Amino acid sequence: MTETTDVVALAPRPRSQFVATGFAVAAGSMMMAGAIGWYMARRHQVSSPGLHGNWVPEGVAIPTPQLDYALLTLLLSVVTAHWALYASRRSDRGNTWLAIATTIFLGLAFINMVMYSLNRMDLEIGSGEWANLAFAVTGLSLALAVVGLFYMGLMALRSLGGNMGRVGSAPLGAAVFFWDFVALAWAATWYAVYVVK
Amino acid sequence: MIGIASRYFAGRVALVTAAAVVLGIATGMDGDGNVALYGVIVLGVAACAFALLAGLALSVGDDDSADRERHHRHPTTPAYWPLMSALGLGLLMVGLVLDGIFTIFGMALLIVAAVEWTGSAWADGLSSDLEANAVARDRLLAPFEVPLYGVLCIAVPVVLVSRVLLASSRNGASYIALAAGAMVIVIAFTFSAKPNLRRSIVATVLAAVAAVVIVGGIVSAAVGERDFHPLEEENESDEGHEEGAAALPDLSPSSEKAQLESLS
Amino acid sequence: MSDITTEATDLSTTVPREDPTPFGWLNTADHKRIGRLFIGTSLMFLGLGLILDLLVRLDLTDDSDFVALDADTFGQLFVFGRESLVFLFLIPVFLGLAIYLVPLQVGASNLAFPRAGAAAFWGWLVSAGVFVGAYAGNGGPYGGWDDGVDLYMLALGGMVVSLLIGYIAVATTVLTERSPGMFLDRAAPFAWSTLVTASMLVVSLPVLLGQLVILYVDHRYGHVFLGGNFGIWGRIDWVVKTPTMFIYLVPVLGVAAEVVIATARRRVLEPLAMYFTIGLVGLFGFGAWMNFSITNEGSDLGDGFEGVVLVALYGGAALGATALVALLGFALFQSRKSLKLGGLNTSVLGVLGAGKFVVAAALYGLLGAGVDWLEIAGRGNDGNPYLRDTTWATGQQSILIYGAGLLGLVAALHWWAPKIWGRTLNDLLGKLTLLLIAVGATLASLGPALSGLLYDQPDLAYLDPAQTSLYAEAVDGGGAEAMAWLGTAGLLVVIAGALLFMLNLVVSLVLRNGTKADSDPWDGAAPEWMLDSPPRPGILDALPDLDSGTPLLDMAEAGGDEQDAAEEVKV
Repeated sequence: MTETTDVVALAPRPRSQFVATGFAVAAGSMMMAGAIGWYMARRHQVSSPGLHGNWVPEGVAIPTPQLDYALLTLLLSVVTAHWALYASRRSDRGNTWLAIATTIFLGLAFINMVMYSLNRMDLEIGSGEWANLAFAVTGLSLALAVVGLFYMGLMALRSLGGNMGRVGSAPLGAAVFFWDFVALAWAATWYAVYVVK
Repeated sequence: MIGIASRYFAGRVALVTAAAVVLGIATGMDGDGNVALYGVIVLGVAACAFALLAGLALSVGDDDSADRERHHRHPTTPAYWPLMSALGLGLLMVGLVLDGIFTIFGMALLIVAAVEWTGSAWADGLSSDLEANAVARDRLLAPFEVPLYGVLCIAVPVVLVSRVLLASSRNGASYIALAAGAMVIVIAFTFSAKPNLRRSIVATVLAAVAAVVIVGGIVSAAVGERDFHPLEEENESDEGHEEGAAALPDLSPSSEKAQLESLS
Repeated sequence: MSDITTEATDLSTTVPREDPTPFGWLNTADHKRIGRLFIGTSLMFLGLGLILDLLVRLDLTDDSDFVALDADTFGQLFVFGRESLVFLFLIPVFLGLAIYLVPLQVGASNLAFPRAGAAAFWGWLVSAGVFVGAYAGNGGPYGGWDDGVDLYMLALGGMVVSLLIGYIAVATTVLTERSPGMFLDRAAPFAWSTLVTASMLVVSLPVLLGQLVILYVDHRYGHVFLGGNFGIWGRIDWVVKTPTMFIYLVPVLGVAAEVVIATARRRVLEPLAMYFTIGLVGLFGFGAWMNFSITNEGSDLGDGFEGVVLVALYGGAALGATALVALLGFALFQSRKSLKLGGLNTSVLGVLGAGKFVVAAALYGLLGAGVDWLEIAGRGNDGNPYLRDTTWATGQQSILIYGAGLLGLVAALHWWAPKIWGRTLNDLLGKLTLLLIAVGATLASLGPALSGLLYDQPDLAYLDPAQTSLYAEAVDGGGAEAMAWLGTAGLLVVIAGALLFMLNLVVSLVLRNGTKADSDPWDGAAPEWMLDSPPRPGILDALPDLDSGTPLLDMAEAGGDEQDAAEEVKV
């Protein structure tokens, strides 16, 4: 049951989704800080000069080129995501959809590459402290990527429904903002776990 | 003009950054380079997070909202998606630890809830005519909803009830199946016999049945399947237990043939 | 009582009707219903937390034997009790109040994301169910069922995520859905305190999530380096300890400011200072970075630095809380002539008491941190445990949860019950409740605090929690049992107060014996008092454009100015 008066088009909301996504990004950053901070602190303790410890187990070959390509793929997906936003703000439906589809494809390729790299390391989870920490931090980063892709997909649905133009692209803008954060989170993980090691 | 929230968040950036620097320097001065890295990293990222919040507050104008329009009342239609997503989260948790099938159900529920939620949110913002919004929403989502929900309404109860039956003893499973069937018949008969029954009563009964099935299925899955013995072992143990009981005549075709051959 | 009525703003939008049947509570998108769900459910979980705390304290009354529990269950229930009081009561109940009130106070028609608010409640409730179920199945830290420990960690993560979603929805409402012309520094104090709480929780609690992921992976796959079931609590207990606990009590300060401004019928001396002091307490609650037990980091210099920082943190919190209580107290003092003694109702007394308990907790922390720092910096570590590792910490937690949190909640519900449920609570019962809780909280905190200070009684032996109950060898004197009895007696008094409060709620609201309230029974200042009591669920709240969080006070002041001007003219 509803009370109906004149039908009016509703004005868009002032950046609510963007602000909420911003809060979520702040929360996600702190989550990664807790995990990467723990990793770096333990690494520092175990492998600092005074302790002469081994941090990365011997025999573990980290597939550096593959992980570098994964990062590049992700960075490229950030570019395509911003392309999607740019096109959406200009109500260019064709380019918007092409860019979103490319972003999602590149995102899936990134996840695939990271999973492949983890398999290539031939490291079993539970085999040691470094393994567990590396898997946990990497898994957290991948989980953020999955959430980011899903968010992008949902906002793509809204674009399909006509949310375009300078103001109507706010939801897609929020999703792109989150995707930027996902890239940053992975970059930090890649550097801490697979470069600094 | 910078508003109070932006100033407050910016002040936090300064304080937390200073704390990170002081912590790093102070703990790094002990000669071993044993810097409190965890603390420094958390404080450093917190400073960035506060800076982000300060930027957000600035961008939406926490000081001067005079130009903010109030025509953004978006009526939000009631929906079950939040409850569904919570149930999906619960199933996901249980599944990650106990049984992978619940993880799949949980993920599926979360995905469906998220898609439905997005569709409803999009439709709510179309116009002030709720009925027209509902039609637009259905046009977008119904082609996915109808077949999916149809399959789910069959598959989910089947899987959950199967868990209950598998966890029960052999006789117990029979009794449960009989009782469930009888209950379905009784409920269906009652509903059909009383067409004017209040909607709330029907919904309550169905919800109670669904809750029993879901909880029973999850608990049964956690308990696990009963032990299934191979048929020969069961027959041997059955024969061992049947003291004094006359053996039933073997009426299988092969035994009949053997008996005929022996007679001839 | 004011007689303000408002003309409904023309809503040229259709309004979806909420389902009036009980099923309407399952699919609601109305922030008023969501708020009430949070408040009601949290109050039920309060009972669980109190019982668990009581069982643990009973066991501490005998230093060489178990009384109520045993070696297997003591550790689990110790942790379960602390977490229940924080994650099942303290945080969600004030979130519920915020979800109900903040949209009304900023002039919004609903939460920024109503379905997110609903998802926050249902997610929290389902996670709480899994949380309690995990403990019931012998899970949780120190549990015997490995899967139960894993379920506990996932459930705790689920609760944290759900509560964060709720607070993000409220914070977004404050930032983006304010009425045009309402500057944030003129917003209602409770709305501002909610924004502070939300921003601090967003920065603190996700650190716990990151830690939980690492703990979960290590626990699930091999128990490699974190000590298995016994290695979890020591790494995440910072969320139920100070300084992080100050963040959970920031809404109480907002409640205090609301009640006092309305009662005194005047603004505080320096309104910006009021916002600043509330923010200061929140800021100095940021303790997520101090989890040195994760890495055992810190040399003596590090400990010394940590000691200085702790002193500064608690000092800042004490300064903020003291300044706020002083500002509010001064406002009441300035109105003493117009304020009748009967005007000091349950809410006013409650918030003044709660504010003082926050100050007391900060001073507790300051004293403890100062003593610890002097140990290191002045005389060197002589082997005595740090005060913060003794039951001194339990004393501080008790004063925050019961003294500030529960007392503040009683005050808040007495104040807003007319608006939320349409009926006032019994004031005499309320004052009796305040007395019991205040006395009980004082004793419940004093006992453990003195035991830690005088007898070095340890708080929790992380690697063998049963030793916490069998502390005969670990204490420095024979008076620890008496202190434990003092603390237990105090908790029993708190429980009596809580039961009296529940009785008040049942009699006044459920049995409808409370006085039916009009729209503004307290001569309030904030916008919510311009609406019906209670505002009908499912209906967009018809508030006019607001340019401040105290429109009724503005109108009263404007009316007073006009009257003064008219009298001047007559003269």
